Amino acid sequence: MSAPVHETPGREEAGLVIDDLVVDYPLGRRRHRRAVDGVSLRVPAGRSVGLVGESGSGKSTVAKAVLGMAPIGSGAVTYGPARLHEAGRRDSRPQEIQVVFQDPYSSLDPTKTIGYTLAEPLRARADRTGTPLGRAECQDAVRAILDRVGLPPDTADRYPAQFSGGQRQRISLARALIVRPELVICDEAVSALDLSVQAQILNLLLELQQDLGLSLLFITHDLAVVHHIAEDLVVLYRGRVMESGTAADVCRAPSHPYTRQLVMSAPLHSVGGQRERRERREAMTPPPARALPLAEACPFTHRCPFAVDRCRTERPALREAPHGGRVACHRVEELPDWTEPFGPPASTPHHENGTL
Amino acid sequence: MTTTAPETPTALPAAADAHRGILRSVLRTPRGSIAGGFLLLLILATLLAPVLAPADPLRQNLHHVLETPSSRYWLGTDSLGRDLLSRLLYGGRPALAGVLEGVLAQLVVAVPLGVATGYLGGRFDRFVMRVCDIVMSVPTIVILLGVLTIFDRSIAAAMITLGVLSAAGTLRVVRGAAMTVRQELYVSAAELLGLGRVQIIFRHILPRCRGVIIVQTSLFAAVAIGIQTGLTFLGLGPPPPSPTWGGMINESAVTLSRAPWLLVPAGGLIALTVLAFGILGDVVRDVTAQSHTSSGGLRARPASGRRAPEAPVEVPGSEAEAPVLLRVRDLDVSFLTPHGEREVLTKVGFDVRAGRTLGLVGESGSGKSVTARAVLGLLEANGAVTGGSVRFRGRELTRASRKELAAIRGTGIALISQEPMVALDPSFRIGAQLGEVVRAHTRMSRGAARRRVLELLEMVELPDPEEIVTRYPFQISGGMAQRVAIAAALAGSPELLIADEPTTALDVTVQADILALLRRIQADTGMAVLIVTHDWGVVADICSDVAVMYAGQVVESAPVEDVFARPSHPYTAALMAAGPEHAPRRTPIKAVEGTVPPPGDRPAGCRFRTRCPLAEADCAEQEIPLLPVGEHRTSRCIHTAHLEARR
Repeated sequence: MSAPVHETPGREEAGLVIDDLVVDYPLGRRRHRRAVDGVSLRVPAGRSVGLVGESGSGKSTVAKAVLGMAPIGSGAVTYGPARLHEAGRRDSRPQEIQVVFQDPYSSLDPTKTIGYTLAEPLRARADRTGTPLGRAECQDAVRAILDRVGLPPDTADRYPAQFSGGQRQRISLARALIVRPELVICDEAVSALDLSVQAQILNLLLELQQDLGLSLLFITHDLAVVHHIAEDLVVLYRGRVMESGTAADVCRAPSHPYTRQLVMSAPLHSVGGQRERRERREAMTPPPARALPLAEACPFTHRCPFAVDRCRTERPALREAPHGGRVACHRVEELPDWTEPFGPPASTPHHENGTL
Repeated sequence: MTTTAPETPTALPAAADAHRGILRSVLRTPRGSIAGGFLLLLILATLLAPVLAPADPLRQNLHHVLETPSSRYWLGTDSLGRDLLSRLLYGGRPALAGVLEGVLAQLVVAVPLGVATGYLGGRFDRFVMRVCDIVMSVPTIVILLGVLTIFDRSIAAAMITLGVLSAAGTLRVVRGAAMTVRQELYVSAAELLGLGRVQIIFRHILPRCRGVIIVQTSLFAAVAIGIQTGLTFLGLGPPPPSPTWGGMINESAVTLSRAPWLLVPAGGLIALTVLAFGILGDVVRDVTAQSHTSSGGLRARPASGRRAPEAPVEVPGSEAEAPVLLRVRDLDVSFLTPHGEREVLTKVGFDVRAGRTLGLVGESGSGKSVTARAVLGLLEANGAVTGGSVRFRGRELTRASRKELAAIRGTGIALISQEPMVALDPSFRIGAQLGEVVRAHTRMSRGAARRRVLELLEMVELPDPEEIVTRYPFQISGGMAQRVAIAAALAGSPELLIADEPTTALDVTVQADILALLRRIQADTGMAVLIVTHDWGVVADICSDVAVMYAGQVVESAPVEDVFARPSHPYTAALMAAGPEHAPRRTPIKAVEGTVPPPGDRPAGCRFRTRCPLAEADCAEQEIPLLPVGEHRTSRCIHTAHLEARR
């Protein structure tokens, strides 16, 4: 397995490297909102990395910065030798990185057949490189990729309106995969889907990752999903990395009070288990303070049950966490040890054997 | 999951109509075919004027002046005895040519600039918009008169000028449409592919703007025909005696008192032409809008003949418990779609008991939200309850009048929805909106209502109610908005709260807070809750009973512990196993293939059988009734024993 996500990136590494990324969105004259505030993360070749956070955490902005859709204030985004932070908005992006968006309804042009939409990346590449693209070759590629994502070949002649959300997400995935990318960014790609359809798409993503050796940057607010699919996990809060490490460690033994809060807020699928989790959560949630912390404070102080004066005056740096990953908390050594049931074994024994 | 697709039925193949070309869809509507047919006929007739016209439009016959229609002069004659029909046909040529020139000039200017400014934005956009402002402030008629003077009464020059001058308005509309399309993700996707801007405009932006362009064009054509005839009326067009529609009106005006008929053919034709262009624009707008909505303005009527109820399932021992507050039995709901009536709910039944929480669980297309809305009589206009009963405290709601329902909503049953922001009017302060709700339920003075509002905000645990009341909805977060919505729901002290996916759009930490709040309010007030959700975690957290829905039916109902411990319907088991929590990390989740079948495409017999691993031949034979399984439980499955065996 490749090196974990939290090590300092070296020079000219394979895979995506984001280093101290800052993104500011302008809010009128001379004011701006810092959406991403010094985020570093790596997606090594073949690995799946989850980026989890609530709304306003900047998780989608990180993806946009990689894709050249957000203004990079400072920091570096590199993919192998390509220095993405220096490329302009209109410059062509490396086709090794593709994206699948959340909304299956607006991500396909309703006036074009699926075949047209899927062939468009191929045509764009042919235009760029000046190599002619045969009609038959194009059709073969479309048929092959439809088969790969589990859709029948006649899909190519139909329009997006004829497909359900799950099928459209398969089509979006096919469009991303047709140029044989190395890294696919999934920006809340399964969030709008029903549970059973979400399961189908997650299975497909896992299968594709294993078969094609893809790397995934999986952006979501759903801890259960990210725990299932990601090897490494980065937790964002208000534009900063709170904690990172392997997904299993971070979910089972979260170090940062925010991650603990996040894990405890996700309800368990078991009445008894959830009752316990709820009680633990209620016991450790302080009444929310009104004022948001200042820029030089830890961004979580107003909701943290362990906050002390130091947290309000000094921004904690990322350092070694008990689980081997990294955490940005001044008091991590003083926090009580804590593990949370996660996933099948402990919490929901009656589903272990599965019913279907 | 942050959003679920709306559950109104949209038969998927139907949406394909959107792509069959606007022209075809327009001609399929009666209004569209009449207006279009009229215009086509008019164009053909004027083009073929030399062939069709019964007489030379210039030939005078002073023996037959100001005649009314006859077999020789179909539409009568004018003051010089010229045949009106022939003059109309020939006069149509400059009129329609003028419209064509104007329309073309307008399209040439407005479409490229509109699409380009809308898509590119920035400095170019600002520059073009300022020019538009200037053009729009110029008095058109003065310019036209000037042009006619310079170009020696050339109607063509005047119409082209008109087209260019009024392009500013069309440009803005096209720009607006292009700006909307620019936000679509597929445009981002195309940009990421490295397609050029021109390519993106032609392939992805322009096709979506087609509808507004056609609407604008036909509305402009209606205006243009008015201007053209106006100018010729003033004698500014081709000099007499050459026939023009405006000129004919002018002539008839002179002899109006002597021969009123003279005004009718020309005036009527102009009016009809303007009307036809207007209707055509209207129909195109409807057709292009229809492809985005399911109902297309249809309105359903409740069926009078009610169907035989399903044999009641008396769950043993249930009467001893808390009294039933809401009893839904055999509820059928149909929606009228452009493709006929679709039954969305079939014989839905459940009970909500006082002080308890029933979870209505299902995926999109299961009918769970429609059920919640049907209970409150809040179905969309194209939906209607076609059978069954909804009894609240013993009172039948399906046949209740609007007034009776209004009395129950709020004080008996209250509703909170998935998107609290939508429920709040952005132009009023929170305090004012809550005050209005409070005063609607109880006749209290403004001062008392204000105190009650603060009390309600205190109840939903909002910090600093005094400050919150002064804020506008856009100044608060989604979690706070949901608390405000709950406060509004509590204003009438309802006995039952219907919560339609109340936490789906919220972050998990906020969701946990809102669920805790609901639980606390329930403990304090004894209110019953009917919660619609797709999230088993929410069910485990807050529900005491569960009804699982699939394809418009309740397939299982049971107390919450039983559902989690031993699901008694294969769909329940499948839906539960589909959560990523239930599979070991990075291994395939046990997912059922396929999706919930849409109304109109549901299999006969058991509706889940096409996706069910336990399905056998007898599942298709008949409608499966809800069968009792043990105490307090029912399941719509005839093979529950197999499910038990597989465990």
